[in-house]
Amino acid sequence: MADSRQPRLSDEQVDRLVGLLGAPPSDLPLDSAARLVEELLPLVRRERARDRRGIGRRWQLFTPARGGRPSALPRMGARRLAILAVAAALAVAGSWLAGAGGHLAPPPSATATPSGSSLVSPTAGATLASLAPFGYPGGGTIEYTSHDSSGGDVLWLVDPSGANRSVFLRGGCCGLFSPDGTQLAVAAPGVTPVGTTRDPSLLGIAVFDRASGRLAHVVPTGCGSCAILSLNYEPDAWSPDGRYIALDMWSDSDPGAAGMGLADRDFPPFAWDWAQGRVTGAHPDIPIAFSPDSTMLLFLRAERTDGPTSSGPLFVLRVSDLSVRQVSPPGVTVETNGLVQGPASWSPDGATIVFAGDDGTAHRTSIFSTSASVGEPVRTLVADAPGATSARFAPDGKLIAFDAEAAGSPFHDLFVVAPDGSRQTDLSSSFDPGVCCGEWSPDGRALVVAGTTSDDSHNNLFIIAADGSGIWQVTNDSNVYSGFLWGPSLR
Amino acid sequence: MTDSRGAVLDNEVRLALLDEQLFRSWYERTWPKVYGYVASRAAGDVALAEEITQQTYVAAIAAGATFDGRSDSATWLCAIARNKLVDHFRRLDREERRGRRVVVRELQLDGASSPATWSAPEDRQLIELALRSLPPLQRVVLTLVALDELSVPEVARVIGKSVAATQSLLARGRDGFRRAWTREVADG
Repeated sequence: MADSRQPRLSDEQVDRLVGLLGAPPSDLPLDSAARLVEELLPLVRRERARDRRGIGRRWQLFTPARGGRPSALPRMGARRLAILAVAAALAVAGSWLAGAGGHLAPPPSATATPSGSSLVSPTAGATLASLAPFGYPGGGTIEYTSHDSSGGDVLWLVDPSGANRSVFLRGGCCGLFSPDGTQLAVAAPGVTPVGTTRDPSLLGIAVFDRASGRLAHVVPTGCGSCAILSLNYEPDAWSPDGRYIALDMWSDSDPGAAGMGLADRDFPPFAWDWAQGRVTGAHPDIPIAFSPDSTMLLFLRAERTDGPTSSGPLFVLRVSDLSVRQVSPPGVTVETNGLVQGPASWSPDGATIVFAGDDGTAHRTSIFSTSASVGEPVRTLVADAPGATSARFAPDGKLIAFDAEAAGSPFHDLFVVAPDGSRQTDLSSSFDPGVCCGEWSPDGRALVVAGTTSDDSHNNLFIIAADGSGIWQVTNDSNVYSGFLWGPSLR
Repeated sequence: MTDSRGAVLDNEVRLALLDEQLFRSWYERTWPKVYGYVASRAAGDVALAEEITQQTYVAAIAAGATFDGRSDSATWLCAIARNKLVDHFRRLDREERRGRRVVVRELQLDGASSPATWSAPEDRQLIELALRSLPPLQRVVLTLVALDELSVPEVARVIGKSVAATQSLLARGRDGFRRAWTREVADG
């Protein structure tokens, strides 16, 4: 029997003894291991089947990563942009003719204009049978970005019925309608203000007149902040008063150069120059949406980037003084991945913010609601919304749309819920494709979604009526769809 | 090599999820490390070790697409396992707080003497018994500090407690281990 007078162990000795358990046990239960792998294989098969459908988890926009490893660069930096048929530099005379009301002078030396002649019928070249009828009767225009066979961006316009599908700009992406619907801002390589020289591979912003298809101006129109022209930038949000375009900017070689900018239409002496180079400092901030009164901007402060997907807390910026405050509670992050336009939105009266957030502490994704006023608590609107990627207020404020895994299914459905959390309705429960990332029509009667029955590289666009009355197909061109919006028809 | 979506595969986890034979190979290679990691922290509770190992692989299969390939996949699996262990002990702690009957043994605090008088001080079973005698949160904190070599702030983040509370749990865990160890050694 051991001496009963044992030494009092020091803390270090306790830790050392416990640490000895780190040596692997000499007798591994191999029978248990063999049983476990047989239990796991059905799960592997099921996950493989889910992956082929592309749904059931966070929507990942497929982009080839550089060097075979996931890129740590922001979403656009990780995309392999083909500088194909975009023509050389879009040298623009960015003259803004001041005057009563002002008007835009067409650029005298634009070398690239969108192609309006590539009309493609909904059924031409179809590779998949349609999953829903074409012919949605509502109005407006849908813009979306897909990819050609070499992976290059192509920006399209199409009627909600599926008719009049046309290429708007090869090499262009990430279209953003102006508030009045008369213009379309796009990101494209080779965009540069007159009198400046940029690396032609860098993305810039070109604003086109929709009626004529001609280039109206670029952003910025002049070189007031030349250093910024060494970065890529794309338009992410346009203020309702038409004055500001919020941009996401980044460098392909310097992650520290990422940031968010506000291009100001009224900024002297160059229209659409940056109000600030990086309004929030050297943070990889991603704009989401302006408030209805154009005084505030929701944005994501990316803390983690995995290929095209960025996640981090949700913030709001006050445009007048560029002050910021965090909206999402501690531990809750939002996400954007290039397909999703934004995980958050404003109510039409500007009083409420809703967002799809991942609560790392609770290990679940929920739909949250908070007042736009400082100091108000964050409410959980929908506690359990697995995989939710977006929360979009309807134009009339009566419903909030979000996509999430349906109960008992790994596939995403489109849901709507009232602002008080009641009347949650699954709008696509009987629709075979998994759907994602609904964007409201201007009249608030329906949403356009990306849907697939296979995987993320085989999406098409569909329209789902907000009252559950029907589902229509818009495109029959299975592809990777990176961003889509429903804008007004041209008057 | 590309998967059915054409994505460039850049890590073994995604490869393993593509094919059953690849999965078996990956599993056979990683299981000893994962089980060894879990078993050492389960303090001899084989049933617990098997359960946590199973939960780890189930979670890994579901989250396979998120593995970014920057670490060895076994390291990634062990990180999942650690979270599962923490969740387990936190659940136990909550159950105990709800008043489940817990047998508390009267431990004798013995006097000090030279380490040379210890009998089989490195007997694994004695260490495991002493560790298992601790309340769940004290046990998981001591385990994370001594086995995973985490700092107190890191442990606090993992278990969702304040640094002060975690420090307190560690101190009490060490003290409890001390008492249990002394008793086990004394009992021979």
